[in-house]
Amino acid sequence: MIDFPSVLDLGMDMDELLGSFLRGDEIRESRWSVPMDIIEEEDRYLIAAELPGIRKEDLKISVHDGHVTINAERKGAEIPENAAWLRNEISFGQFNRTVPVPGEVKPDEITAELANGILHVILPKSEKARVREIRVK
Amino acid sequence: MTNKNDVTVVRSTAELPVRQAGREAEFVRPSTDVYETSEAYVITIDMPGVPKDAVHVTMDQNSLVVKGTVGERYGEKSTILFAELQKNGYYRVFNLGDGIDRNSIDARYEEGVLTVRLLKKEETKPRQIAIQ
Repeated sequence: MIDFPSVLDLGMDMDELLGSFLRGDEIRESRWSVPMDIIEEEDRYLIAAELPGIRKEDLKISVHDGHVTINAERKGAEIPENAAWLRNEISFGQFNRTVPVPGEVKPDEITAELANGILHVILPKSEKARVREIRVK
Repeated sequence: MTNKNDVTVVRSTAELPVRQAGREAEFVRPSTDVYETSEAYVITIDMPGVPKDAVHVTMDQNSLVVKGTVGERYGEKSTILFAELQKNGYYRVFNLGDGIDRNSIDARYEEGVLTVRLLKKEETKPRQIAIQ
């Protein structure tokens, strides 16, 4: 079954495309790019990644030589045999990205949590990397 | 299959509550899949970072509005070294045609993905006609 968009819909798509191009956000919708944050807190670093639709078992995190690598696979939507796509914007497939660890951490104490489509990798700082307040005598 | 215009993704720029021109929009348009079966339309929307209780799905006679807000992610003492994640929230509007049963909507939110199922009215479903 082939479901051609109407001329009107096509016009809207072109407009959306142009709009997103002008706003500079075309990357967000054109391929699977995973936005990340890197945060420093008093006693730890935090790496956050947007991974909607990813389950624990489809995710691999590795720490090596001061870098964190995140591998994930998002499976394509399975739709019933008699179904037809009207819109298909969500990207899927393999993803991997490596980011540097911002400072010295305790490699054995790194943990990760996945909630609401966001992965948090928690990297406790080593004693050396912690900021100490020096009391003035 | 008919009634493919029963769920139309609205061009959301006009609907977006944007701040002043040139400034970052408060909400982004989330990536969306829509498919149609003989019984229903199924809409899938990526909203990573939105807690379940901050996902709002509202329906009136003509449209379905999906909104999700991202709360404060990090504590006050945090320093952001690198920032790419969506900071505000997501907003998207769908036009609904007459063929959709307004009384049977089902929404589910899992792993940052919202799935909304809209059932077709009995009379708009394809029927098998028995040959006499």
